[in-house]
Amino acid sequence: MIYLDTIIQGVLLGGLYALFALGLSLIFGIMRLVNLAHGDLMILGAFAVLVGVDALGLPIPLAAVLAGIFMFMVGYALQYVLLNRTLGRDILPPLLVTFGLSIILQNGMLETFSADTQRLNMGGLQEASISLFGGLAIGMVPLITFISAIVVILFLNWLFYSTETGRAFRATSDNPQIAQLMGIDNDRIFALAMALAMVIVAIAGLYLGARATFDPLIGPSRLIFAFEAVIIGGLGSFWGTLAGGIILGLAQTFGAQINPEWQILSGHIVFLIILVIRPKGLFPRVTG
Amino acid sequence: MLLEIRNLNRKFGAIVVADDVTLDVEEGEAVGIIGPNGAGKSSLFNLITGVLRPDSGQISLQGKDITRMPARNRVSLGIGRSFQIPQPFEHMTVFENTSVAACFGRNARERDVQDDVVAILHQTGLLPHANLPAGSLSLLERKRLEMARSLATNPQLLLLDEIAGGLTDAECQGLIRTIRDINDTGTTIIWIEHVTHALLAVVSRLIAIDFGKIIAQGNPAEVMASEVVQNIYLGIE
Amino acid sequence: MLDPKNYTVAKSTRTSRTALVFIFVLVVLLAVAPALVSRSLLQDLFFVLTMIALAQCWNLLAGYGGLVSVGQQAFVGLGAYIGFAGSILWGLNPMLAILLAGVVGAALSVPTAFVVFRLQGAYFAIGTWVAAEVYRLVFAQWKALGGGTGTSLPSGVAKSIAGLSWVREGLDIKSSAARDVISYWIALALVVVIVGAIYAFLRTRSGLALSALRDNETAAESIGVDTRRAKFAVYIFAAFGAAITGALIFFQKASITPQSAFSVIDWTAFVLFIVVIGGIGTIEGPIIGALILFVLQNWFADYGTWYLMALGAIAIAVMLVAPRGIWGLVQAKYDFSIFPTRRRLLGPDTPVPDYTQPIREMKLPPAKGVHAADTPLEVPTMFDIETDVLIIGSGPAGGASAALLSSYGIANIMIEKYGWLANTPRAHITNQRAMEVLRELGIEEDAIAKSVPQELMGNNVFCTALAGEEIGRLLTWGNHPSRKADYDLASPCRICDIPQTLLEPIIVAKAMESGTITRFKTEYISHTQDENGVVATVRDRVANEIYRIRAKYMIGADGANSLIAEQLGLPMDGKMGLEGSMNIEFEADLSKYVAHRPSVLYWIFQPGADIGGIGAGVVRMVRPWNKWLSIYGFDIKDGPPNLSTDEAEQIVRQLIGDDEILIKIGKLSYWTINNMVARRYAKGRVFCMGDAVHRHPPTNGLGSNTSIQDAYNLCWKLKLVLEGKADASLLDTYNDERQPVGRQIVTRANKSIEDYGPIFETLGITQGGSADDVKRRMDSRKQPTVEAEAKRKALNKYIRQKSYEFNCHGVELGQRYSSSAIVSDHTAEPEYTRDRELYYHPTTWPGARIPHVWLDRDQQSVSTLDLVGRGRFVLLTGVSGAGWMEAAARASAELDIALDAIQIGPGCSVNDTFGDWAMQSEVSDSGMILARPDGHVAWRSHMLSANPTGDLLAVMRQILGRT
Repeated sequence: MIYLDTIIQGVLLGGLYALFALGLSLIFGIMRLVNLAHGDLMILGAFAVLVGVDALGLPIPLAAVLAGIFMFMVGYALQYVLLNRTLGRDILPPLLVTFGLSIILQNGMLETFSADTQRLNMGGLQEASISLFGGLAIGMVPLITFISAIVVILFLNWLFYSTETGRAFRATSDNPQIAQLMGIDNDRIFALAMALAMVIVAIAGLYLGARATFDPLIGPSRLIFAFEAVIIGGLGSFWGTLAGGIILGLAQTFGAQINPEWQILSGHIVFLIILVIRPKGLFPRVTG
Repeated sequence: MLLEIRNLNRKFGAIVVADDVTLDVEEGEAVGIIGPNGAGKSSLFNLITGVLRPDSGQISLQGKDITRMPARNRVSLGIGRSFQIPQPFEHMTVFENTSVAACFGRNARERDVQDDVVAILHQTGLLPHANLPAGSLSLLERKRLEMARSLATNPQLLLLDEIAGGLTDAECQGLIRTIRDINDTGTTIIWIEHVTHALLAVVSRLIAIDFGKIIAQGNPAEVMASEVVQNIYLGIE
Repeated sequence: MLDPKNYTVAKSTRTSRTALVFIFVLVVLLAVAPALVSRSLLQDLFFVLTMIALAQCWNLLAGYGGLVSVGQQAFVGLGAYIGFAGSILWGLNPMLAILLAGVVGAALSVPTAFVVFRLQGAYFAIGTWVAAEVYRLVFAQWKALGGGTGTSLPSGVAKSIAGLSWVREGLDIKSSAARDVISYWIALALVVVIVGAIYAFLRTRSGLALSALRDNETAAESIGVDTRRAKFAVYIFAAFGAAITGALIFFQKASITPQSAFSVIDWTAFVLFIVVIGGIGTIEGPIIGALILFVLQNWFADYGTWYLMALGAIAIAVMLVAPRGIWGLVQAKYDFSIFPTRRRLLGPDTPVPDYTQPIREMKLPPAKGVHAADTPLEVPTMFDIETDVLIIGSGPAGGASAALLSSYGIANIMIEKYGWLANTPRAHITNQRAMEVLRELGIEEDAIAKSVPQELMGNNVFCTALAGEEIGRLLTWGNHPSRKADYDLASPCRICDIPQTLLEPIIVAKAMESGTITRFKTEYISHTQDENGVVATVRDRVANEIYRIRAKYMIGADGANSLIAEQLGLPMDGKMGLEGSMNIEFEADLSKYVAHRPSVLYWIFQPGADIGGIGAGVVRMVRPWNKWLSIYGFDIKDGPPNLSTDEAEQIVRQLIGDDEILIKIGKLSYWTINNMVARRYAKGRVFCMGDAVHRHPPTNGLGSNTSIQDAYNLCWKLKLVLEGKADASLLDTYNDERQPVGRQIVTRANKSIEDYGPIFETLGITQGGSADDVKRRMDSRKQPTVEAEAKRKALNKYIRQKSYEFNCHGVELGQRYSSSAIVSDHTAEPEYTRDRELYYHPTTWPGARIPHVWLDRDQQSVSTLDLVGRGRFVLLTGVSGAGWMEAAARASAELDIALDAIQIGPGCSVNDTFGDWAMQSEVSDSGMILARPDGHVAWRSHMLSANPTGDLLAVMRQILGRT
């Protein structure tokens, strides 16, 4: 029974991690950019919801929507003004710029919100759970998290493969120069992609804050989880990212079962093992 | 026999880039390769240099089986390759570019290869540019640097990949002369080219490839005039 | 020819060496700093030094190796923990523990690398971060060292470091201060060793490989660099450095926690900051960055989060605006390096550019002497006309070049600034060698038809005026019976006199008939050349259009004021404008003064005739006996006198000595006596010839003859090179062979002027005074006195001395070449049995022109000179030389070059009926003479060699520069 519970918890955790990772995967897929501030932006998203709830007194769903809009704009502006300039063959500029950004964000949030840990209260849902057989219970929040992850993936797949915007995304990611010749404004496409990723990040921040406490400095560790999920799952497919998140979640929950101090470490170890055996991940899609 | 290729096969999914390729190249020969884009010409070079591994088949250099040998070891065995799109080390000078190739291609120290590097730069007409960063060179100069770098590794076999493209007639003439000189000094050359008149000025044997397969081989004029080749280049039915 | 010994490679510059001296001094100062500065400053310095150490390692990894890691804190923490474990748990001396930390760091970096290297680019970065997190989490489990809360260094351990007591006592400070000092020294040593090691490494070929890897990994692999091993090595070194530094840092802190040991901010963020702002990819950058961080830290660290945010913002700004950091800016502006690694190739023709230009726009400095193509002409970027050889100038040199090249089938274009050829008589003596060239071109008969023959040329009269007293006479131009034999024996052609106005049209007509494209009223402006050819910019003066002509080679035959020679920057010896001279053309019937003593030159010795000029007044016959040209001098310091027609007539009358005779004055022209020869005739693909490279007075009558022979020497070489039968190095022999000749004739011509001085002096003309005084002194030689006899003897001697001007057969004909296009037969040069200037010494010694003898072919007389030349090599051998005939055929086929062979003797196609060839060939009947297309002997063999084909091939290969 314990095992089943562990598995269920791990899978649901995987949903959260998948949400962490989807934004990262999206950005890397389209513009080959790895954003070291990704985790911090997620925390920013969580704080945005918090501000909506605490300062503006809004109900969480509305606060979440506003936070989403806010992060959309942040993402667009960030990409258009700053990150577009770092794109190119050299990997150093985007790396260092996003690293600097990460530091700025962390310290900015420290200044604004202090180092206190925070929590997002989902109200009634917070403690709710669904009872299953044999005494097992699935928390509502983790379940909703997981379902949201699936919804996001479905949306992304639809966007990418059935809309014109998605076509533009794919074209630009395949060959930026030709895409430009066909009238696609790369700068705008990238900004749009980042904005979209930030919305996903906002959603992830929402569920992060709901499931656990957060503070301005935990961004980098969430980034690592996101990254691990992407790598385990393999680049190029959103479902793969979900799978990666699930495997990571399982690794962590099982590790925690052995020794609570080892939760995160076991996630890392599983990641490293998979990295050694299958560096391309478990479900890679063949891409350039 | 310098290079022997036997029944080489390689495909990427449904795309066949090498279809049962069998080929011999003698020492000192100058062989040309023509074929439409995507025919598998550059892939053949990639297979010979080791960047690509074949699905099946065998490659031997001077009787030694190199099919499984990693790419960088093939360089020290004497296979040099110049890329279609020149890939210079942009922040290093022309001299440094050539020197590093000489050091690692011949496994020697900088001091020992210095004279040869100077000679190679002279031969490829790059001596006045020796101290310029490779990033500042014109297209022709980059192509010359590409050649200088492959020559610096002291290859027995030099693979030239479409180096005449993008050059004016006069520049092309100069390049042809340099290539002829290189062949005259004993380096075997296999040359992929679209600018056929450049090829015909140098090579003694011509090979036509399409869909990974050798479709014609022999005397350059005859191959050019053959029906299969005419079909490809002129679309004559 | 390329001589690799002329090239050296330099890695350091003078400024960098000086800078290193300063650095050395600085290090020494730093070493004694503990005795001089406060403890807190020492601690600050310690911080700076350890940050430098970390930054250098990270810089090597990321800046040079392209491995951007944000996980080096893994090794810092690892090193710190091993250091603590070593000294606390394992009882090691702290120094040893620190060293152990480095070793363990290096060891563990291997499996770490094995894992993280599976990732590329930014994912690699995150991977290293994950690794660091793993390390942190693992070490946080190490209960013996405090687990998650960490531990401190026991004071006993801290004190046990070597040298502590010595320092404590020596500097009279507390133990903890002494510990700081020792830590500081270790840090200083560490930085020196790390920087030194990195710098030394970058100067090796592996350093080059690392730069190559950073620039283009695939290309680096393709030239044989083991990129995987290189990256591994760099990673291990960086780990070693980070671990040792980490151990040192925490030893000095004396306490450790997993958070602090594996802190991303302290050991990666700050390091990143240092390297990026200081200048990534340089050794100097991290040093500067560390100092800047230190300054900022000191002033702003109190501001906590704002400080960090500012750091982040600065790093972003620098990355976007000045990605190469501060040192990068310094280098971009001044190209200054303390630790330079760039290899500079120094030698002939390898200029070093200005490295402060942006790479994409970097250009070489304009080469000296080659006209930079930056003249602001509105010129189309494509050249308009193409040919093989472009000839500038239609004078004897240019015209002969055109005619010869066309006869060889080489495409050529000749351009001439004016609308027609020579319009003043100028050169006129056409000696035998020049006539031989005309003979080969087939225009000898045409020239003879227009010429004044030898017998009417030779009465060189020295007089006070044409109508005046004749002082002396010399038979010249081979007219003296004893010299006539010399001249007749030397050549199938006869010397004659034909003014340039009549000769040029013959040559140019022949050229154009044979295919030369001549464009008159086309002015040469400038040129550029590169390894593919020459592009000349010219102006069509009729249409006033500028266009360009592209040729493989260019001949600069544009005269004594050659623009091309100037633009090429040919080094010149000597001076122009030594004396002033003028030509006055006139028509008058002077037969009564000259018909009885026919000559081309009459020398007038009068007061005033010795000023400037060519040493005396001259009346020169242009057409017998009614067209004349008088040469008179002026003081060059006063400038050309710009005479009126009347004044000119005055002078002419004076020279003639007849006040009544009808004189019609024609053109006047002013020129100068020059004594100038170019030390080099050619540069790259441009060859100068004629007056452009040898400028001298008309004495000796050598000018146009030498010019024509310059052309004759160069053109066959151009032909062979253009046909691909000879290496371009053959063209260098033009300069090697003709330049000494140019020097010789310039010297000779100027000397001949000097030889007039004694005549004037002996006559007493130069001593001044009135006309009567002069006459009296001149007449004094007619006295029966001893004095007068001496004078008469002297005069005789000086006049005969003039044979060096007018019978200088050895200078006219006797040139022997020495160059790589002449192959020695290992015999000694035959001695000159008579005066080598006055007399021609025929020989077949390699380098000399083939001697002329008359042979018989099909019952027709033919000269040896008729057998050779015409653009081909010719091998002459005797009856027993069949082996050479075969060798010639073989060599000709093998080298694909025109190499004819002729047997001379009875029963052969050519017979030596007079037996003169046998006497003059200087080789045995089975020997051979190999003649170049310009009639000079390239090689000879005394008899048939054991391997005639091999020998002949070797000789031909050497001449042609084909190895």
